Amino acid sequence: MSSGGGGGGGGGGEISVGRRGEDGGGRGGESGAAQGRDGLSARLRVARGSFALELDLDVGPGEVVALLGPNGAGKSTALGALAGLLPADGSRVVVDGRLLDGALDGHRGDDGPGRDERPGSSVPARERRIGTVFQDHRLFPHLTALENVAFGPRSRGVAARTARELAQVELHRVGLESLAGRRPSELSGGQSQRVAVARALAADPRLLLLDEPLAALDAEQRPALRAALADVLQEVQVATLLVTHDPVDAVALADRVVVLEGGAVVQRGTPTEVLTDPHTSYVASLTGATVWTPTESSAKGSGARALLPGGLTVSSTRPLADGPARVSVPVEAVTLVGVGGSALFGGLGGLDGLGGLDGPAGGAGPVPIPARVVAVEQRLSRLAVTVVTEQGSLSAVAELPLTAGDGARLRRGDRVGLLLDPGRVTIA
Amino acid sequence: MGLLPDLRDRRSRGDRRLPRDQRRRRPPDRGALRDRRLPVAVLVPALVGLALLVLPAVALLVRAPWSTLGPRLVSETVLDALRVSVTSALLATAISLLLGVPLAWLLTVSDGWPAVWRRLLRAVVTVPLVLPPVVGGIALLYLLGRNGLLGRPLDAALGVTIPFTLAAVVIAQTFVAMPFLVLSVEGALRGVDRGLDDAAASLGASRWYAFRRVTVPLVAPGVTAGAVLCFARALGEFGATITFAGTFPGRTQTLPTSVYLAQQNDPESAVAISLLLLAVGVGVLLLLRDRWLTTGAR
Repeated sequence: MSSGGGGGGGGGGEISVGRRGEDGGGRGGESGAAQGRDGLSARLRVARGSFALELDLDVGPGEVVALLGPNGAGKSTALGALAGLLPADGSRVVVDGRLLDGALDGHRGDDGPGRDERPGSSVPARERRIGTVFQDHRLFPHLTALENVAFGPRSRGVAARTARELAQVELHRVGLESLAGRRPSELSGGQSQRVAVARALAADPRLLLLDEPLAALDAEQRPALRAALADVLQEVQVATLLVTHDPVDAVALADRVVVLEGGAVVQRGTPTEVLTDPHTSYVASLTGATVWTPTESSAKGSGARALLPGGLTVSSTRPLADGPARVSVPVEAVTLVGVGGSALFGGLGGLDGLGGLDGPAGGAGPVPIPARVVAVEQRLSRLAVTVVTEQGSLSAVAELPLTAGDGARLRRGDRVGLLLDPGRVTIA
Repeated sequence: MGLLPDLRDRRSRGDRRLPRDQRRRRPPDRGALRDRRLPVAVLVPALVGLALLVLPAVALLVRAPWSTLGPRLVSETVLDALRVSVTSALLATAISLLLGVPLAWLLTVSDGWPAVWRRLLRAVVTVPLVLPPVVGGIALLYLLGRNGLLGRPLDAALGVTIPFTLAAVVIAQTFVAMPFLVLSVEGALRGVDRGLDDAAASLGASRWYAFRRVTVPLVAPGVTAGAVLCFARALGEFGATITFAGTFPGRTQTLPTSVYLAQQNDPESAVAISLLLLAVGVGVLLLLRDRWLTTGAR
C-alpha cells in the first residue's frame, strides 16, 4: 500500500501495524482474516420509540451497496447501529466473519469461542474497524488535512512517521496531496469531503459507511466529486454501504440498491432494475415515474395485462414481473395528446405503437384515456406535467421539452389524452 | 454542525459584501444617514455610563505621585504584598484549573440529569459570582476557622489551622475566582462538536486518545481565557481575603489589602499600588484580547 520509501524502519513498522490491527480485532477478527474478506452480513433490528428498523443487509467484499430512502426511513439509524454509535439491541452484525453485535446463529463452533462471540455482546465503535464518512465530514478543525488522515493510524498506535506516510498515500489517492498542510477551514466543501474519505480509508476499514457523501456539496461540484468517489471506491475494493436519497448517487456508485421506507426494505436490485421498475411510489418519484396498484394482473401472451381501478386496463409487451402487484409507469412511457387526438405532447415521435393503456375495457387500439392536468412544473430543461385520469383517478407524469409548442401552454385543469408505451411499462 | 455550513456562510457573506460596497459608492441617501444617527435618549446615558467607567482611572492617573512612584513601588511593604499576591493568585489559578475543569465537564454532562439537580449544581457554581466576597470570607471562617465545621477536627487531628495563613489567601481567592474559570471552560466544552468524538471513535481512537488529541486542543483557548480571567480576579480579591486571611505584611497581605491599609495613613502609596493593579488589569485585558483574536482568526 505504501511506497517503500520509508526505509527499513518504516516498512517494518508498517508490517507490524497491519498485524497489530488484526490482533486488536480479537480472536474473531483473526479467524475472519484467515477466511479472507467476506464483507458485511447484518440483521438490524432497532427500536427507537415508535419507530422500528428492520433491515437485513449483505455487502460483499469490494461491493458498493446503496441504501436509498426518504427522510425518516431509518437510514441514519442503520448507519449509527452498524458503526456502533447507536445501540443495536436485537441486531446481529458480522463483518469479515467477525461478530460485532449479537450472537452468531448456530454456527459458532468452527471459530472457537472468541471474546466477541458471547451472545448479545456489542463491540464498541472504536474496535469495529468500520470507517464512516459523515455527511458533515467532521474533520478535526485544529488538525491539518494530513494530520486528519493520519489520525486513524495514530490512534491505533502506529508510529508518527509511518502514519504520515500512510496518510500521504491516502491523500494522493483522493488527489489532495498538495493540500496536506491545510486546515479544514481552508478547504472547500469538495476538498474536505475528499479528506474525509481519505481519513476513513487510512484507518484501513473492513467496511466503509458513506453517509450522504455528496449531499452537503454544491450542485455544480457534485458530478466531478461523484466520479472521483466512484474511482476511489473502485480502486480500494472495500465493502461499502452508501446511504443516500439521491438516485444519481446510487446509479453512479452502487452495484446494488436497497430501498428503505418506514424502517423496512421495500425493494432490492441493481440501480437500473430499481429505477426502471419502481415497486413503490417513493422509488417511482425519484425518477418522476408513477406506480399504480392494479386490481388484477396476469400474463398475456409474451407480455402482461393489468386491470386498473375505474375499469381501465393496461398492457405491456414485457413479461409479467415478480414482486408486489404494480404497474410501473416511467416518464418515458407517457405521452399526452390533445383532446381531439391532434396535438402530441409526449416524448415519442408518433402515435404508432402506442396504446398500452387500452382505454375502457373492450376498447380497441390506442385510445387516449381522458385525463386532467393537475400540475405543470419546470424541471431543469423539461416540463413535468402531472395528469390524473378521469376514471380511476390514476396519476401519471409526462416530461415535455420546454420548447414543445402546445405542451408549454398546458395549464392546470386542461383536459388531455393519456397514452402509454407498452414497451416501457412493467406489470406485476 | 460541522464545518461545511461555516464555509458556505463565509462564502455567501463574501458574495454579499460586493454589492454592499458598491452601494456605499452611490450618493448618500438621506434616510439612511438619519437612520444611522443614535437617538439622544440612548446616547446620553451611554456616555454618562462610559464616563463613570473611565473617569476614576483618569483621576487615579492625574493624582498619581509620579515623581516618587518608583521608590514607593519598590518599598518592602509593596514588594512583599506583590510577592504574596502573585504567589497566591498563581496557586489559586492552578487549583481552579485542577478542580474547575472537571467541574465544568460535570456541568456539561448535567444536561442529562433531572432539572432540580442540574439547576442546583449550576446555582452552587454561580453563587460566588453574586455573593459579596466578604460574606464568602466569613463563610470560609465558619467552615475552616479554628472552631469551624471542618476547621475544628482539622485542628484537633492534625494541628493544622488555616485562617490567617497564605493557604487561607489562596482558598479565599479560589473560592471567588474559580467560577470564572468554570463558566469559561464550560462554554468551551459545549462549543466542541460531539460529532467529532464519534468521528474519532470510528477511526479507532480510545476515549482517552480522543480526549487528548481532539477535545483538549479544541477547548484549550477557552481554558486559557478562563485561567487568565481567574488569575485577574484572584489578584484583585479583597473582601474574602481580608476576612478569612487578614493582612499580615509578608504573609497574607496582598496588593489590594495593602492598598486599603495604605489609604488610611499613606494615601500616595495607595495611589501608586492602585496604578500597579490597574496596569496588571489592563495587561490581562490585552492578553485576553490577543487570545480571542487568534482563536477568532482560526
